Amino acid sequence: MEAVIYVIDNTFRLLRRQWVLSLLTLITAAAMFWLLGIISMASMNVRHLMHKLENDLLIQVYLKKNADVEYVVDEVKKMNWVSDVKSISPEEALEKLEERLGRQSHATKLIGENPLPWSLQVRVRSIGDTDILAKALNTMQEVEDVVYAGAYIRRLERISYLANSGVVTMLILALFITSLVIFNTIRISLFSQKDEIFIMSLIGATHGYIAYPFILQGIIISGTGSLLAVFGLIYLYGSGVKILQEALPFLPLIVEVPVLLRFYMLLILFGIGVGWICSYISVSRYISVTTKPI
Amino acid sequence: MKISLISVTKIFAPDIVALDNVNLIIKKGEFVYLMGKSGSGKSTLIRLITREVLPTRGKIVVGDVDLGKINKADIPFYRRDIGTISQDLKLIPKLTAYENVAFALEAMGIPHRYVKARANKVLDQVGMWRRRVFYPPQLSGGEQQRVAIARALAKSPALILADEPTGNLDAKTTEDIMNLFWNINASGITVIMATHNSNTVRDHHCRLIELQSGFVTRDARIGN
Repeated sequence: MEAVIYVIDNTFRLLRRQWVLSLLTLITAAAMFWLLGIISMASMNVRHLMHKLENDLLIQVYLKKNADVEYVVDEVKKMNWVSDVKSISPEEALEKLEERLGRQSHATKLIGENPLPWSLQVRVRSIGDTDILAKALNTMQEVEDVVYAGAYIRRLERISYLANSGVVTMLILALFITSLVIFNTIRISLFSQKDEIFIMSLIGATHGYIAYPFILQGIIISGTGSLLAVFGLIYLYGSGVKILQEALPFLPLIVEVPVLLRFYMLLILFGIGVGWICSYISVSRYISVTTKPI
Repeated sequence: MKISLISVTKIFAPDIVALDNVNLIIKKGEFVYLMGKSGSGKSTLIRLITREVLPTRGKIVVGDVDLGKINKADIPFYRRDIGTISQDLKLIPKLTAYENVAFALEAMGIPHRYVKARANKVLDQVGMWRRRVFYPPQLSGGEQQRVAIARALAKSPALILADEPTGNLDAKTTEDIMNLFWNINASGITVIMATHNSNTVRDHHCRLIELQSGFVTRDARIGN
């Protein structure tokens, strides 16, 4: 218990002694985690949108007049990229067309015989496979035409790719910058305490006992940085979602509290982890070098 | 605490021979003066015993511990049996005399309730209890040395290593500090004191080891 009190007491003494440096490190860490959070949330929303589209995305396959519908459905179901296939008879298709035409539905009567062919509604397993699936369907003998929103999907794919790349880049950048500042802050703390560390090592303090206050210092700075970043994200995301939902009500955004909470918790844990690892490396290196016998 | 140095040689890079084939056995409870000029190897010998320095050749055994075979994790526990006092004192200026002593005990993980009693007891033993709330810069050289001795004594060591502990002190203060060391030794603690000043050596029953350029040139028992 005494050791715990000592570690906590000494950690806050270190933070007080170097409050300017600690504050600067805290601000840097908070800014980095905030940026990481923003890009991750953007990426999450793009992925959410893609997922939504994946569920809604159908490839319309029009069959030739004398095609064996059951055979085609079986063949399509065998394809890896397909999640679901539904056949639509010409009568069903006409009904739907009339529904869509509304008051002008009587126009279909003018055509006389139902001109619509048998068709299939194919649901794709992953949005990235849409093009290849459409190509595969097009090569089938029984298929007359394949219709799907290809260009739209390619654009979304590009956005998703950019968002994912942004997250990875930001993750590396945040890790690098935050690690560097925390590493150096702890190192400066260690240098400022070098006499105490030497005395402690000479009188028989274990390395752990010497190291814990510095490690805790790193955890507190980085953890508080990520906590501040989360507060910033809650505010920004809340207001952003409000504005977007008013302007683009059809846009599916992540608003589920458990999902957001999980993300915020993850970001805080990430901050704590970064602080812990950086300060641990910094302290271990310093202590092992300074206490190494000549 | 018995100390054995068997054929110990220490060469610092590139080729500075600090100790050359030193063989010594120091028995438990002895008072040993390590005499010699600057650079004769006194401090190196002390630092070899604290394991701040490793021998280039030879073997050092302190108590039951072979310093060449000791685990890295066991070194702090080994050092808890040794009190070290140096000329530059290494007191922490931001801590009071009491806090300097308590800090040493806390760093060893001794419970807080024992720290207070023990720190006050050793400060009283070295005559610094009344000055315990003063910071090192507010104390005289002799007083600071007393605090350093109290810090070394606080952990009840079996061995005291003092490297030029009276180097910066006047004759009267040196006398007082030496009396303290004699009292410590009288309580059964082995004391090894490095000094270049022959005036420090008293006519007490003790052992005098003289070093010159890394060699032991004299090893004699003096006094009654």
